[in-house]
Amino acid sequence: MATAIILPIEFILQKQGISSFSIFSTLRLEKGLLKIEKFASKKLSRLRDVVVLLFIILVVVIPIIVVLNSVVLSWSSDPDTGKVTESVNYQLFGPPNYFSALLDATFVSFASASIATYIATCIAIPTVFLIKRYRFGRFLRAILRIPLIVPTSALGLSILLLWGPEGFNLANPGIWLIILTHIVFSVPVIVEPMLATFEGSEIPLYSGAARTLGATQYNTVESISLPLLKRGIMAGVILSFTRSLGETGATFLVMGSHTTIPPLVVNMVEALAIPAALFASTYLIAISFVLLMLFRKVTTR
Amino acid sequence: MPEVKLTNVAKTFDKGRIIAVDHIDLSIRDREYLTLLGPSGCGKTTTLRMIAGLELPDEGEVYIDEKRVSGLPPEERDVGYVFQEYALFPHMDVWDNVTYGPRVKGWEEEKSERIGREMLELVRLFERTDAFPSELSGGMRQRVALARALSSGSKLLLLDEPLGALDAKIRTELRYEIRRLVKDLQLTAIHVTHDQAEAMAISDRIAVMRKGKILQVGTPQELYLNPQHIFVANFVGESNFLEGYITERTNHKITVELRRGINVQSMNQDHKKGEKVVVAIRPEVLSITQGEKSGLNSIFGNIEGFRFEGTNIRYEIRLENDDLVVVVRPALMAEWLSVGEKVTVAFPVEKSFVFSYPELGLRTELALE
Ligand SMILES: Nc1ncnc2c1ncn2[C@@H]1O[C@H](COP(=O)(O)OP(=O)(O)O)[C@@H](O)[C@H]1O
Ligand SMILES: [Mg+2]
Repeated sequence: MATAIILPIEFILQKQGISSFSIFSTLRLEKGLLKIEKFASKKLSRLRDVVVLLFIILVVVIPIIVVLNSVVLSWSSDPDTGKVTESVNYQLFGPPNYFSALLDATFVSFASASIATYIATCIAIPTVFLIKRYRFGRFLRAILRIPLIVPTSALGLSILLLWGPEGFNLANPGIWLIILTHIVFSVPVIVEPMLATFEGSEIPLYSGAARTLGATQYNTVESISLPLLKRGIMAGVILSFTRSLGETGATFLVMGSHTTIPPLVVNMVEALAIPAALFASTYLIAISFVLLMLFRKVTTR
Repeated sequence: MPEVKLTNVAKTFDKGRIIAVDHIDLSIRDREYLTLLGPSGCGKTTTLRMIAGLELPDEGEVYIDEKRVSGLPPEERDVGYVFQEYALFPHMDVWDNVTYGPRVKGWEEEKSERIGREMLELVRLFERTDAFPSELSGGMRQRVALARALSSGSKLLLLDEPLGALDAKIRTELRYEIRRLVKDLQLTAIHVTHDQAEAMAISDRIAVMRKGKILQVGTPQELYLNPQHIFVANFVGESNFLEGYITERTNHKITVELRRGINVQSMNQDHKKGEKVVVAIRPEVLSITQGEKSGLNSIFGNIEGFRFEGTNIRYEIRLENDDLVVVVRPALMAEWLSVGEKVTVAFPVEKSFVFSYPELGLRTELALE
């Protein structure tokens, strides 16, 4: 663990070419830490595991439990004030009728995620072959990563300005613009796992073998490359779908009167409908969880 | 029918930094079993890939059946290719692998199935046709790869180190089987290997390659009895090399003075008087007798190493001029001498080869890479 702590520091120091003195001092620091760790691993061999486990529980599991717990506690009335209007049940099914809003959002979410993922997959598959076949592939790959790095709200804004009514007027804010936005960041999300699979599967070798057996380039893609890339494609599709469902920032800017689930949660909070927001969050977590299981099933063997 | 001809074919990689194949000319006759023999990295696979169309030459032309194919994609060349790593499609079972060619060419289902069965029969693989490549042994994979390569009915078979991944025992068994198959089906075969024993055993002719060039093409006997290049003398069979200068020359014979003024005679092979040369003598040609006995082409020495190799004894002998030579004698026929004994090593005049001393030095010339 001491090495794990010290390594990034050392890395940065060396990168910046700082004199040997400071490296020496980090070495001394490292030695000290190693000593402590030696002691720790002798006396408290389990400590490390426990700390990591605690950390995960603290930041990942507990918040989810808190949310779930609040939903249960405030189902029929607010646990503190006892107000019925502050209950999950009332806000969902009563006059505020957030449940139907949630159902609408679910529809928009799934529709846009499905369509965006489908179109993005259609773009991603030939893109992978371009990246692998040509010299400019590396450049293309770098460009494709941009939507992953740019803050999502900036991405949404640029799409709104370019394609929205102020720009080329391709679509009004709404589901079509949502789909367009999601396609932009979904393509790289699908391309990356496909590339990883490509690199691990010796596709050029098998394609060559197929060609000598009489397959055209098209036959080869269809009968060799795509089946070998299947796992990567499936992983990419699920990642992209999950990401579409959870995306908030960019969607918020382009969604117009339609809404997907995450922006709806934000809207609920802003309208101070906390119990409804809690329920919607739980709902979203459950969906993501199912997708995660699916992802594991697809990628492990 | 299939004859293959390469004219002035060259291929580089990495923007010319790696010269894989360096302007080679080679003709393979119809129904010939030709082997490309050379150390690894000498350009054998690249040559084979250019014949198949998996790689395009930078220069030169490839002809199959007198038809220029240099620009054609692999699927239009009609060759069978057995890859070094077999390259069996991992997502298809044995049957689908073997019938891939017929199916992808759009042949009728009945015909494809008949061919699939024939090919599996040919390589004697009947069971486990529904197994996936990862479940098969090396030998079985090799058979499947062979069956698949033959399934398209091509009369030209390219084999890239087809036995390289197998155990020694299976390897020797399978090499005769492949040759028999090629001969039975009247195919033309180009076989790539770095194993000279394998090449000698199965080839009609061998092309010896080194550093992207073909040094000599000939039957196994020709290469063994009459190597034209010092590298060939060492790579096909083994050779001892003795450096010296030509001091005398008649029509038939030359005399070479080795280091420390030792004279040996060899056959005249167009060398000039005074030329620096290397005399190559195969270990199995050298005789060895106890004690110091003078005579023609006899050199005294001391046994420095002794190894019993099963059928042969292998002596390492330090000659009186400080050269080290290897002598191999059949174990049952030879006297068993021990390390430290003084001996006389001799060889017949007509059983040695003389080469001009290589410009870049002997060591460089013999180097594998
Ligand atoms: N696709 C490639 N890219 C770069 N270098 C290559 C490629 N293929 C072969 N080479 C290089 O070309 C040379 C000849 O390779 P190869 O034909 O595979 O030799 P061999 O089959 O005789 O071992 C080697 O130096 C190898 O590293
Ligand atoms: Mg090779």
